Amino acid sequence: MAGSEVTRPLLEVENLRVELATRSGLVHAVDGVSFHLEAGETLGIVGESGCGKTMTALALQRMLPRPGGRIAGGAIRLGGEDLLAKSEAEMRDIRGRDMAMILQDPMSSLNPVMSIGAQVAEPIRAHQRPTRDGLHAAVLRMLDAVRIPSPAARAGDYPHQMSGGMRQRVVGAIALSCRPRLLIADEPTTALDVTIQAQYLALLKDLQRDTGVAMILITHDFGIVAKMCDRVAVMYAGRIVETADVRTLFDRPAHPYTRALLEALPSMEQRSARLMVIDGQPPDLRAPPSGCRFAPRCTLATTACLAEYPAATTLSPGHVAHCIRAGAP
Amino acid sequence: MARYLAARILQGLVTLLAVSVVVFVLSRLSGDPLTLIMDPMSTKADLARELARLGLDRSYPEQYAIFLLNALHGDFGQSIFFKRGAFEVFLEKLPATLELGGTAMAVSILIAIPVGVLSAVHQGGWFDRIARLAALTGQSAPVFWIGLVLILLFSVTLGWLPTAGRGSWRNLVLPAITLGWYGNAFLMRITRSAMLDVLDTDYVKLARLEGLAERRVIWKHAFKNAATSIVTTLGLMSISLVTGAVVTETVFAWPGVGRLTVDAIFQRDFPVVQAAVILIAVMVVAVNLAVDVVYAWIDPRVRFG
Repeated sequence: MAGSEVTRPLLEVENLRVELATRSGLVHAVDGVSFHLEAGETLGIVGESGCGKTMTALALQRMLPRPGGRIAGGAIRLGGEDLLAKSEAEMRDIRGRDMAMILQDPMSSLNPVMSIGAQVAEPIRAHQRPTRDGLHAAVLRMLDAVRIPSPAARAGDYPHQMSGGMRQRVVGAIALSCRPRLLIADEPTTALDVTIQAQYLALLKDLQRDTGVAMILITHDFGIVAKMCDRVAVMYAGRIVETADVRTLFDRPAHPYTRALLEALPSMEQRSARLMVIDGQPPDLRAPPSGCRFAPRCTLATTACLAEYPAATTLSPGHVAHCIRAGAP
Repeated sequence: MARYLAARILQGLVTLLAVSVVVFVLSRLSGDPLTLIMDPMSTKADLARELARLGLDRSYPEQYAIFLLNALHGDFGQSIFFKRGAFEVFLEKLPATLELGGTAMAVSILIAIPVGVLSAVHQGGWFDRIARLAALTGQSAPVFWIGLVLILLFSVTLGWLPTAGRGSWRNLVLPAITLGWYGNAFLMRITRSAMLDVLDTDYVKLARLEGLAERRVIWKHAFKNAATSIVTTLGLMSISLVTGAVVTETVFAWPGVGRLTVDAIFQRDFPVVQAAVILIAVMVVAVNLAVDVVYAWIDPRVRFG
């Protein structure tokens, strides 16, 4: 590649480490995570609760819980710019303008004493210095973009007057109001009814097509991954164990943890078969094991797995797994 | 909104009616006022005439009806001690109490609320520690003791401020600090804990994720949500500033309604006691109504609920 200009990815995360100081000790919540994201692409981050998905997302925006949370190492670059070198004031300019977030629970993400119109206006006012009329028009445009019926009439409504699905649309309008390049959606549909979930995901997809925003979709639901994502990163105990494009991951999962997760999904073909479960618990992230973190629960583990963390094995372009058996017949 | 307000006003009226019954009954239980009013040498005929003149020979329901009707016209009878209308006597002393309470309240709002907010924002920092210690001291020290210590320090030793009485603003300083002391500590703690709750919510997190300035996150997004608890506390405080002024008004010889009421009780001046209790009850109900209106103004869930 030497000599040729390669366009850089929109987001590059290298060896990111996040530590949380808690009463019971230092938790290595994210421990050496690397991934990248191209403009307009959707990356799914999948894993069970407590694996570090949300901490990774918050670290990208330098919004780790305070006091206690800190980025202990690594690099985060958005559009080539080193986010870890930015001052807090510079980060404030980037948040909401270049990257935005959708939180899990729409019932608690909106301010109960502000009208939804006023809330959609907040980031626009903060980042774009609009005129009064311009702001009003922009708010209505955003409410319309997330398909809130008769936006002009509803802009004055308060969150408690809306359903969960409608509220999450408002959160989406807030997130996209300044046309960010990166949208991080942390389990955006987990709190919604199943029928509303599908609607909301379709809406997100349409908005992405219209705006070209890249998306990190954090979820534990492979169904959502299949529907929404271009690529997937599977996280386990603070690390990414496997990355691949969606097709490859579903067809040829290389890491035993990924396989176990996929086998734990109910399928129409094997309705009578018992669902697979993964025995055991994830390791304690206050003192993570030095070897493969999944080894204690892995049916294929050998003593070699416990020695040191497995290096990345590239199985095909873009398909990487951290397992000593990956690629072996 | 209109229905909400109507319900609150109705509740207030019912409360006042209940207070009037209690006052009426208690004043009949607290001994025979005639023995106080009448000359010990008066005859049975004098007594009967006086009974009839005061309406005390009628049945209790009748007496109550007359009492209530008169009260509605601001007529609580003649003060036995002052020989003037009890209502008039109360109104004369009211401005002094309002002046003292209002100053104490203003000082509390200006100090306790910002300190509480700052404490919450810098939870666990040095500012928070000092503020919490000060609040703890404020809530533990008895009011009369604080008053005496302040007099000793600023009036007796330093000679900066007068010890007692009402006059210029210099007379107001020490009693206002004394009266506001406890409420200040209380308000600061309530503000701090309400802010801590709100600062931990998802919508405040989201406001920060939108890249809003910290000042706006705290005052526009967080404080407005914490304001309902703060307003409730302010309501409670303003009531206690009137009813609890008794100690402060005594220590500083402040001529307000607190002292008037205590004196009237000891002098068995029951028309003044009745007037004071009912009018203070009216003020309490009015403050509560105001708090409810402010609630509705702050919180759309109340407004549209």
